[in-house]
Amino acid sequence: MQKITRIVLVDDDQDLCDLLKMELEASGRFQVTASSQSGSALALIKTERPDLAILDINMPEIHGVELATTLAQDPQTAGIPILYLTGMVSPEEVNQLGGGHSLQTLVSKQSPITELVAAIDNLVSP
Amino acid sequence: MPIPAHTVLLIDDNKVTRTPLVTVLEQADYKVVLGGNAEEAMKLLRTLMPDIILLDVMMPGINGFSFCRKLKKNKRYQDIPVIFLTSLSQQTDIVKGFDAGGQDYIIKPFNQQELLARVRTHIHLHDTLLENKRLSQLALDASRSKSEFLASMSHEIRTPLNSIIGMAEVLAETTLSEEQHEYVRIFRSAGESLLEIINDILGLSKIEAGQTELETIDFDLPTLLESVTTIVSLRADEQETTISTHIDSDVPFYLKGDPTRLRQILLNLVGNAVKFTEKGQVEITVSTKSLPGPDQELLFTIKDNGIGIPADKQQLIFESFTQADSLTTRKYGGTGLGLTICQKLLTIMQGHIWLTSQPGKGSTFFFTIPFSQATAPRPEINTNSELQSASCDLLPSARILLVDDNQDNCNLIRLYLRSTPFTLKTAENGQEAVKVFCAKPYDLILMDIEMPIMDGYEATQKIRQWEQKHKRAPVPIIALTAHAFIRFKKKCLDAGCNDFLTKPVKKSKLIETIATHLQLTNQIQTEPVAMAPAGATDGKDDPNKLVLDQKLAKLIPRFMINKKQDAKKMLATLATGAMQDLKKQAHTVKGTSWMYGFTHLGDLCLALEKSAEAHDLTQAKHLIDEIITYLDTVHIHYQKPDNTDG
Repeated sequence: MQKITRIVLVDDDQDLCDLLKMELEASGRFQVTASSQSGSALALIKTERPDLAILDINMPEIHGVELATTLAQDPQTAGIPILYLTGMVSPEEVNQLGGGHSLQTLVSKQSPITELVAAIDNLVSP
Repeated sequence: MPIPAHTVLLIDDNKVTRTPLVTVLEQADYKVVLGGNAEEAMKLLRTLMPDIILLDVMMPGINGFSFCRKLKKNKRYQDIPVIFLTSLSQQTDIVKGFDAGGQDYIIKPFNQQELLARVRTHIHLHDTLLENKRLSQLALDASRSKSEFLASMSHEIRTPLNSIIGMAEVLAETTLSEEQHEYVRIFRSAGESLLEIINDILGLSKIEAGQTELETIDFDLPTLLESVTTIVSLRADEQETTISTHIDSDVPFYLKGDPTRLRQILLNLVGNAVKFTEKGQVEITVSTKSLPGPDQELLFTIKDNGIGIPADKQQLIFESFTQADSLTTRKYGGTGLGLTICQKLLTIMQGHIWLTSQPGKGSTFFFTIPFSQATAPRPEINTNSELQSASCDLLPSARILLVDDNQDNCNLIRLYLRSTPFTLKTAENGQEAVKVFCAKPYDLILMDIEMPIMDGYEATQKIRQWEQKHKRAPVPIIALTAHAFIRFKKKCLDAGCNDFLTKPVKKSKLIETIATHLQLTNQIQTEPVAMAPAGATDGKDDPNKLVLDQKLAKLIPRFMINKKQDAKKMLATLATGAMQDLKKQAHTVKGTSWMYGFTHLGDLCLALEKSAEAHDLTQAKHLIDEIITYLDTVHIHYQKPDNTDG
């Protein structure tokens, strides 16, 4: 029996939250808590302590990278792998983000879901 | 004996005449202040408040008549009685004195005793006037504080009462024995009656506290009358009473005024007429009375042949909490505030209300209201919805099933949809809805949630099961519920509803939601596509034909509605010129569209994001238009999930 991966997903579009929650949970391998309220994302991740956080980057209340940095600085949440899911397309945009976190991956919203699932597996597998 | 001494201001330039006068007045215990002329008197009056002024007419500078006129124009001095004291004895002079505002006129030479008697009388009258003014101000203040107290109390009571009623509603939805259900029903209906009373009190106290602001807007009278009769027609039908309306040919259809208050007054009077009339007739007539100028007065007549009101009670019924007798209250219910509210509202609106009545024969209520004719009649007779007049013609015809146990709600929705091409059929509860729908499917269902026998959740689930069994496309089901809580919304969507509206629903919102779902039904086809390529595919040749995975079917209607709204928001943002915000909006919609498989839509948003960054307003406008057109015209086909697990 495979362990169920607990994921917190933060994206400011509720439709995207609904879609990914449905898609990921349909596989039976993930349990997703999705929120479109980026402002309360930090608190949500601290309470949930998920196995992985999927973050949008351009959000109205908090920038995804800023959120990840805050998480990395807190010993309680520092170990949570981060997967950025972004609509950014140009390499310049992506390069601007910089590093700072070893357990992080970036997946484009243009990619099929299978690619997202592969990236998740890559981050959480021992 | 005046205690403390009353003050007399004597204004006369002639020492010879004024000296004996001072002696006489002082002997009678008046305090006398002298003014040698009008200018000097004016200066004295800055600090002095005399109880009476004795005023000579012929003086150097300003004469007595002019001085008096000046005085009477000033709010501070206008109540001080003025007695002219002069040798001018012509009839025209005397009249001039009274015209100038004087209270009395004494011709020199005068009798001392007569003068004292007149001074005494006028001071007494003046004292009485002041006392009356003080009392009336006290009464006004007391009434205002009472109303303010009531208004705030009513508000304080209303808030917890709403919770009580709301909780009773929630309780009614839980599993209860039949006995408990009955108890909860009584508890709810008692709460609702209490709320109604409090609303009336609040309405009345607002009027009395002078917090009622009247609107002046254009409206159309026939529609307003019809909305009133529709609401009361349910009760009238039950009592086998007919309601007829007649509007005289010279009454303008389009008026300027306060339609909300007029409706409130009519609802009260017509509602009363129906309430007290069994197996009879209620006739509403509107006629005009011309007023000077462009204004017109309308005369409304509400005539019934019900129980009538005894002559000695006819004035009493306009007083708060009064009905013709306590037996009436027991038999017919009501707070007895309705007519009081009508009367007060009409007073504010510069109208009048009166009645004629004969016990056993019926009553006729009359009221008048001044109105001006609306300057530009609207193009359509249908009113009261911004959406309706604009785009009703564009609505498709559709058969709609309304499921609601409350007749008032059904009537209201029927009224809302009256001028649309939709045909409406009603079902009283979930069980009936399932039966009716499965026998002959409809294009859309409006589903109340809280209903006896079978609630909206269960009915929706049963309909969805039936559709699956018969391989039918899911009909749009819009839940209607009084609960605004998110968890109810989730429960509705989980049960299989496509959308959710909170009661009381606005007409424009209802029509817009129905129209959106009907359009979506045409755009989305659930039949599997035979020749579809594997995977979610955005037809490269024709982006307007989109093939998506069947499992997305549940999410697509909401996605479409939300993205249409997002597009509208983008237009609004573009109008403000906030291009940075527009860029962010486009960016968000882009990512989500791609993930849903709406590649073309995502690409359009990407282009929009770029033109927003480049401040290219023309291109941005063009792209948003294209996005809206795309959302309105795209056809979606669903494909069965791929079994080959590719």
